[in-house]
Amino acid sequence: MIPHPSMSTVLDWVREVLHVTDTAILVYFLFINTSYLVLIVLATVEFVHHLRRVPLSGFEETYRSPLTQPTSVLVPAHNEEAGIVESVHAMLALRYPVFEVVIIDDGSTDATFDRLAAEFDLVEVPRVVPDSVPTRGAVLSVHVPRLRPDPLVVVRKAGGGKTDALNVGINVARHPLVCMVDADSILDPQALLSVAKPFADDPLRVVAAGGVVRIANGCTVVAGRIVDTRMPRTWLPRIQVVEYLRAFLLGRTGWSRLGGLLVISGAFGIFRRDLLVEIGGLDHDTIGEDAELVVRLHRHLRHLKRDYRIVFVAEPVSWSEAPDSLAVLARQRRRWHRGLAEVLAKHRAVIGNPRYGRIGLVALPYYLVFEFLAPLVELAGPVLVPLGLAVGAVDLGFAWRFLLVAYGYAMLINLIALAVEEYSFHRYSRWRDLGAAVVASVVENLGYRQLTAFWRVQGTWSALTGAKHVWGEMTRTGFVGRRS
Amino acid sequence: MAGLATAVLLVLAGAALALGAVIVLGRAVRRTREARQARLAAPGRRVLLSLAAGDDEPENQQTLVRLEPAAWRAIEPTAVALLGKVRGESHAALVSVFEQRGMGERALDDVRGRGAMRRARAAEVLGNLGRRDAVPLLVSLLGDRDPDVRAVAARALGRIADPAAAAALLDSLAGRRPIPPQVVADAVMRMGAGTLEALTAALDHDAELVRATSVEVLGLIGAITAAARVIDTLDTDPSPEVRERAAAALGRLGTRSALAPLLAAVAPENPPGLRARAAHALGDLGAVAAAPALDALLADPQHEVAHATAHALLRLGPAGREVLEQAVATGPDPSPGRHAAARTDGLSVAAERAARYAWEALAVAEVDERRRDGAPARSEQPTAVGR
Repeated sequence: MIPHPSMSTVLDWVREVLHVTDTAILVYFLFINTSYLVLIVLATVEFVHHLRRVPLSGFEETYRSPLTQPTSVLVPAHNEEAGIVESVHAMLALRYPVFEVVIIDDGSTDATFDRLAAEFDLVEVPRVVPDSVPTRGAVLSVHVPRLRPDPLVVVRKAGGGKTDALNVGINVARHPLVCMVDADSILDPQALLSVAKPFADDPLRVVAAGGVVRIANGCTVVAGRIVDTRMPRTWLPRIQVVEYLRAFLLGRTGWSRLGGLLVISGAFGIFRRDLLVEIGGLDHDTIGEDAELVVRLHRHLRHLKRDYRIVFVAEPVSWSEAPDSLAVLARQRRRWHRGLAEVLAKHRAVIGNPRYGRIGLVALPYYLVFEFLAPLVELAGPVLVPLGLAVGAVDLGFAWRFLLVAYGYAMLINLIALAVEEYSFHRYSRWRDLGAAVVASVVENLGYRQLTAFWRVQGTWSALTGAKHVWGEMTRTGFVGRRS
Repeated sequence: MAGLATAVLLVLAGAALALGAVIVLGRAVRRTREARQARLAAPGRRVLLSLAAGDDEPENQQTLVRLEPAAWRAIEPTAVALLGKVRGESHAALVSVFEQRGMGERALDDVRGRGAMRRARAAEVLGNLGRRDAVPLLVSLLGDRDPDVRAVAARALGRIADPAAAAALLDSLAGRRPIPPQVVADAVMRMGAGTLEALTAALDHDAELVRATSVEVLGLIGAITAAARVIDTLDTDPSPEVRERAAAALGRLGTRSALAPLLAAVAPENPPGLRARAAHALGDLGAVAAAPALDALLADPQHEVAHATAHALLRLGPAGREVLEQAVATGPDPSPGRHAAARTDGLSVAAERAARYAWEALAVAEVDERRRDGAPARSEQPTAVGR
């Protein structure tokens, strides 16, 4: 059959377009994987440097010094009756000279408060809470232990979401440093000392520090402490372990070294209280409130042309339970990506703006192109490349190259991340765990990545359409009418 | 094309295998090395620990002195750390072991060597040995280009505790190669009263950080003879941060002469941070004469000032308590759930504010007393005494 002339030109045109897009996708994957490699190399240099100096870093002196700045540990809690008592005990046992633990009960409907009240024999005190940062839910009461001399404060407030709980916590906090922690986080005993040490070493410049979050699944937990580090038993969390190693431990250390750290995990971050008050606390209208806070902090300080540093501390560590089911993981990834979208939209004036230095010229553009847009490209690849192959836009050789660059290279990056972790921290001591990690590094690219890409695209969609979000029943509005 | 793709595939596979090998080998090597170190260290460690615990058998010292170099290297980090921790006879015994092994001399050499780690470790050893003859060398290390070396040198000077190094330490706070202020302050504090001259001289330094650190240390070491200079700093220093620390220092020094300057510092024209610190310091002083001035501050619109005032009044004895109870009694009932009829004139707002802060302070005091006595509470909720 002789094809109709216009059909053939259409086909030619399609072939042309696909050839271009497929090549673009290949280049994109090449760039993104190479960028991970660069971050990993930077992180490795940082670890090598840091680990050799640990014996000299003077943690004992910091612990004993009367000049170490007191810290308020803020723990927002909503319906955490299961683990709250153990969690609070563990936090009170943190190794730090002067600190207080502030639990903010954000309108829990379960026995969270009752359990705390029973365990610590809480009594109400008429504490005056200032309006240093704006809050929405009213403070109902403030409690301290009746007889025990523990530095514990429990605040009951009307439900308003995690962000509001943290803002109330900032208001209640008494000390110059504020450490935000999730209620179900498990902290290493020295975690607070480690994450506060940058402030002691460079008090004029350090304004915030983030700690690494690792995955607790599979580890043995006794009295709120990790006593044995093991890989999780099931595959979904195992893959997340590798993912966290690459993206959080190594990625963030790399960014920190570049001076472009944009995200301090809400599960473990420490800030100067006065600066938080200066910028008005966390933003109620963003889901990614932890990232948004850091970007806003960068912006504020660069505006004022202050010399500052935001650092990432790789060890010790905070541990969290990772989602073990696809449904929960999907919700998490949608939420994260939606948060990213909202932060980028809110601070779009910074992207590409030389006034904001490395944040404007490197970090935010990177996040826009290689984090925000990545899932679209990740989904497009497995669709457009076979399509291109089918219409003859690309040949088999190209398809091979694509596979190698997109997935083979990525597997290699994961293995490199594992090797760096093994060399630096070697937390997974059993051979079996190492084997599981290696397999997970490979398997991540065979389906897991594509799944998370799909969920992340869904997150973008919900950000665009302004769908309702749930964490304490908060409703979000879309992009319309947002301040930048 | 296919050939190139295959080649790249082989390279990737090779790299993956190589990485796998690196991981596995790396672990194996590390484990063997750790096991070997543990084996080498075992006999020496036992002797070392018993020596540090005060077991002064002469054989212990001799055993350690005669240890093979490899065995000594295996326990060296522990030995250096113990050297920094133990006191008295154990310390003297350990020092003797180190000196007999020539560690002191070697450290004096290494301190000038290349390699930041080497210099830092040597500085630590010299500090833990307490070698006063190393002080000039360590002082020169305060300007080392590596920040960790500088910090270790500062700590070492603190351990040796020779006050002659104080001026150099304080100077090292400013400049292009700074040392963390906490490290410097801790080191100077360990040197004791001989640092007084250097500290008071530093109160006139150009750099704000030097003045701030010096005035804070003066308070922490209880340098009462320097009170006049600290008062001067409170009154005249251009930096609010330095003035705040001077106020805190005066509170710690506790001299009667501090009363008037602190009362001046709580006046409304001062920055709120300073006023709050000064109020807190008045509480530290415990001078009853300050009670009327603090009474006026209970209703201050600045939260930190009102809060510090209320808690300071708690420490002024019965006179302070009296002021707090008055504030609670004359203000509208501040207990939660009871809303007094709102009047709009300033007097009621101020009285209500004062009452809230006073009530909090009294409640906190009651909780503290109860905790000290360990007695069960008289009532369910803390109430102001006398109600």
